[in-house]
Amino acid sequence: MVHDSSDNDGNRALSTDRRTLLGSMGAAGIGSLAGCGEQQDGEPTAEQTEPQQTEPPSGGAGAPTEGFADRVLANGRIVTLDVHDMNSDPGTIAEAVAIRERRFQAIGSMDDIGPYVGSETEVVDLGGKMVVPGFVESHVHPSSALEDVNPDLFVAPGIHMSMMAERTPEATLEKMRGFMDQVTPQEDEWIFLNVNPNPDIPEVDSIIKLTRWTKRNDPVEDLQINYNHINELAPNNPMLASISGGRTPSIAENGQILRVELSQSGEPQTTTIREASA
Amino acid sequence: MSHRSTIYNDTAEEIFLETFGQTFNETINANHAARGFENASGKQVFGSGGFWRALETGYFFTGIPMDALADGFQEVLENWRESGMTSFGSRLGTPFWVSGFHYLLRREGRLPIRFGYSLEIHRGIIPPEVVTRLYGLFGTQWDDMNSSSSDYLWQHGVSSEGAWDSVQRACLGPDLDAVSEEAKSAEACPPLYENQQIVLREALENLYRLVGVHMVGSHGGRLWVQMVQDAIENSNQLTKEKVREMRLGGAHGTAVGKVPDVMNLWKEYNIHVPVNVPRALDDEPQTLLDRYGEEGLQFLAPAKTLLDNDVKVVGESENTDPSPEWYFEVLNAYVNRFTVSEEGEDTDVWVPEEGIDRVRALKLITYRSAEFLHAETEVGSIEPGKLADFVVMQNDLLEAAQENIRDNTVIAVGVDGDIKHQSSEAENFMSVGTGQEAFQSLRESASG
Repeated sequence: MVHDSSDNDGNRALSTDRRTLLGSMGAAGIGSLAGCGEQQDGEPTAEQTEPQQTEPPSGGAGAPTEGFADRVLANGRIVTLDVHDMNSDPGTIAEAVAIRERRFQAIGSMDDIGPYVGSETEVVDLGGKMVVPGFVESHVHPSSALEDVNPDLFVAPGIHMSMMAERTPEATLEKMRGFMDQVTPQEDEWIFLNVNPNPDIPEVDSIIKLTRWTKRNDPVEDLQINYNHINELAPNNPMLASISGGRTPSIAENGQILRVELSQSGEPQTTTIREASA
Repeated sequence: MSHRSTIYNDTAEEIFLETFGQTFNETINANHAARGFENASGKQVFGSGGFWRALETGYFFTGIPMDALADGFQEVLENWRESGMTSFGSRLGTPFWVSGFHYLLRREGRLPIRFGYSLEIHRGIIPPEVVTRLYGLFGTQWDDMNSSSSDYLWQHGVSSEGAWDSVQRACLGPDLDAVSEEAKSAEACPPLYENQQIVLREALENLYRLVGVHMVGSHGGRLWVQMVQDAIENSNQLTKEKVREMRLGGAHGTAVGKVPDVMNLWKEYNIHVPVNVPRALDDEPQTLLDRYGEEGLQFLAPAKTLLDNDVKVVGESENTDPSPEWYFEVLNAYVNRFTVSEEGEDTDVWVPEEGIDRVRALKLITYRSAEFLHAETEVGSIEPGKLADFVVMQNDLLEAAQENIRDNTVIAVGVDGDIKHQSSEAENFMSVGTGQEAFQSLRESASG
């Protein structure tokens, strides 16, 4: 659970000469997993006919591997940022790079990179375009993005309801009771209710009026719709109610009542109990 | 002010207590106290963020099949890659997410892009003793971090969003007077150790790197370092040298200011300070003006002054619109100090003298962010031996007029040297052949 399967001592040993946080993927993993499908042997083949090239390069200083490149990117403006100081110097700007076994093998002019091209090296024409290092985002939220790409994953079994708030807490509670009357919860079934702002009510804060929250040390009784009401609505079933833009897992649209049950395989099955309001 | 709230009944409470133990109620009380509702002990939760995520993944959605979870993450990362993002950092708020990514890596042997995560398992309703156990199971102490990961997925620390020093509620404390007492009280500025900070300090004392922990305002940054100093004093393992080596890191920095003693503290302890200029320009100016008047704008993500003072500023954008144009909009925000609204309109320019040149901006979202993820030996620049991650763009970023920096787009992305997301534009250029013949003919046509 903690580490991926390639993380073991055998692989780790391969990267001990590089003080890398990341390098322990190891050579075994790199070749088979990394998707550089057209990997070639490091040695030139007997059939090699290119006059310019009979020996594979031995790799420059710092180059990780010897042999021909898997791929070269050529005829571009490659901004390397090999000057790391936080100044305005973009560092070396190269015409071409050689890539081998997932890594940059060499960087330089077309002349510099020529020797890395073997018979099976793929040549990519950048057409003069600019290349920069891949962007590194320091902070982003995959779980929120996951909810966007597949909202179906986030469907809890239970009864899902949604409605507009009314002008007063009393009228809103009455409406909530009306919704509850339309369902017969099964034993232990969850009930999720969202009460949403009502744009037809000019005082847009209709919601706030329902929930005049107590400030520090005010009496709790000030709450207008509170858990006692929710207990009355659902005396025997667990229930969550969002009264002012809070959160429940409810997926119902305004006016809608749905029942979600999970199939044996975990797929949510939805039944409509009440249609959404137009 | 509106307060998002969710109410639950007695039956629901019984289930939550059964699932999460007494910590559930302790967390609810902390949730209320953080918002000044000490007595709102009715069964309700304020807010809609991390607590719910923890509740949902800890109870409601535990049945999500691992393959479906992995498929979803795969799609998310492929979407992000289209913007030119080839590595990213994030807090993972629950062990459930951690499992999802490790499952995906195990299933596929790789991820679409690289992910350095920090564990954020003390944000919500998980009891402290369980947190400690989870650190033991999932967590990686500093000394082990360099040898315990894959280059697709690695852990680089622990974090918490916490209920302090938030965007639009930045803690400026004594650094700036507000227009009124009420305006001042809107700062999320609780005393140290009133909330999750105690867990963070203890984690640091035990050599877990803190990263992605909110550091939004100047005084928030000062308290942050005080927490670090306290940890050094309490711990017999932690030293200042160790702290400097770890590169502890904040998050957001949208109103972080340029207060001399705070900048010096960050430098002294080598704290890395993400400054999310695009978000700052979108979210903070009006808040700062309303709360502090014109003076407030001096705190608005002053990237140039911070960099000129050698603070370790880190680029951040949260990639809220992962399009091939996104990072050029981000660069534009760092350079020209305006963003573009959802309707495509240019927004106001804010504090233009804090704009930085494009090369520094580019370094912030490549090499410096890689340092933040402790991955700069592998990514963040194009050098022999580093992983072949790169972006091909439509227009020349260095030659473009400054006002045109954002008129650009990613036309291809490389991860591990594999080329993805070639636009039709790129296909015209990126003709592919094999061997010396192809290379030589390209050389001739390029020079001719």
